[in-house]
Amino acid sequence: MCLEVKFMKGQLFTLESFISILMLFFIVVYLFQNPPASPEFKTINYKLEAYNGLKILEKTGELRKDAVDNDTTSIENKLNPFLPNFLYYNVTIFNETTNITQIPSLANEKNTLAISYLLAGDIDYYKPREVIVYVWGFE
Amino acid sequence: MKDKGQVFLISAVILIVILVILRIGINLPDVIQSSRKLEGNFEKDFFINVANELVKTIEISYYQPDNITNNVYDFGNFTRKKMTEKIQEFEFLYVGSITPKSRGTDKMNVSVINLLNKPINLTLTLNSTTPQTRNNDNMVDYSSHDISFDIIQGTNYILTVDYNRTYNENITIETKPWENKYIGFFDITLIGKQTTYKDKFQKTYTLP
Repeated sequence: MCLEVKFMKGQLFTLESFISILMLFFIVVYLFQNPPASPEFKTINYKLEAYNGLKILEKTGELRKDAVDNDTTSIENKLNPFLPNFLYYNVTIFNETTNITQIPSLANEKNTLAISYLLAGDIDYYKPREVIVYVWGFE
Repeated sequence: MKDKGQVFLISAVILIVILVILRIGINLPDVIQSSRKLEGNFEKDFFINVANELVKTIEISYYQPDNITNNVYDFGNFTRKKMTEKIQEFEFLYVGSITPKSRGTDKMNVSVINLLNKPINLTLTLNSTTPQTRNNDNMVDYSSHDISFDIIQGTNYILTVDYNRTYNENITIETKPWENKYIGFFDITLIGKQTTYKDKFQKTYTLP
């Protein structure tokens, strides 16, 4: 009888310890699975990623040429490596008065970003352009 | 301590409470500050983009020197329009001078662009042997003003730009008889959502 009680107590002790470890494990995983970040922080990161992409394309001269040629498809393809795969994006080109290429319809999107880059033209060819990258598909 | 297992449970609960409190409070002000800093960096990048493209406007117009001032004025307007759409302010003062390739006495043409969001009382002074001064008492916003000075080729000058008696800037003008020289002075201000960015610089070009 005494042995049986001791055995039961031992089982209960093991169970309680196991539950404690499980509780701690799950809470640690739940709390620290994502680094602390505000939504604002994430959107600024997306903005910077798109902007850095534009900046690099400008340095190589590709953005300047494509913008003057109004070739948004080319810019979009070249921007692809700079942005996370889950994001949607579209490039629109503006001249001094209006948009030259089509602006995407984003009325149903909850969160959108617009990243702008100004250009004076291409080599020996003054033709001011604003390249705007619209980004959506994030919370 | 009869129920040692329960001690584990209670300790676990206490530890969880501590962890939750830590997680909630973890670096939240730091995160907010970092995001503001990143936003600030983004504005600064945009300011650099504008400054670089204003300079690029001169380089693009290199083979049509007569178009330089018009193109800089046009790009300044374009930038200001785009800034206004972003609820940011853009202020720009530009002075461009061109000295033709020649010997002896000649004319130096100077163009001033006012995109400062206000009219200015402009005074330009060239430190020639007899100092030459040109005034424009009411140079309105969104305007450019062309003037000329007598120069002796091969001499270096200081052109002083003064407006509203609050602004005073010296531009070094180098002239060479065998070169067409173009000097652009830029004073750019971008009033962003968080910070105001200002830059003043001078660029010298030898034109074809």
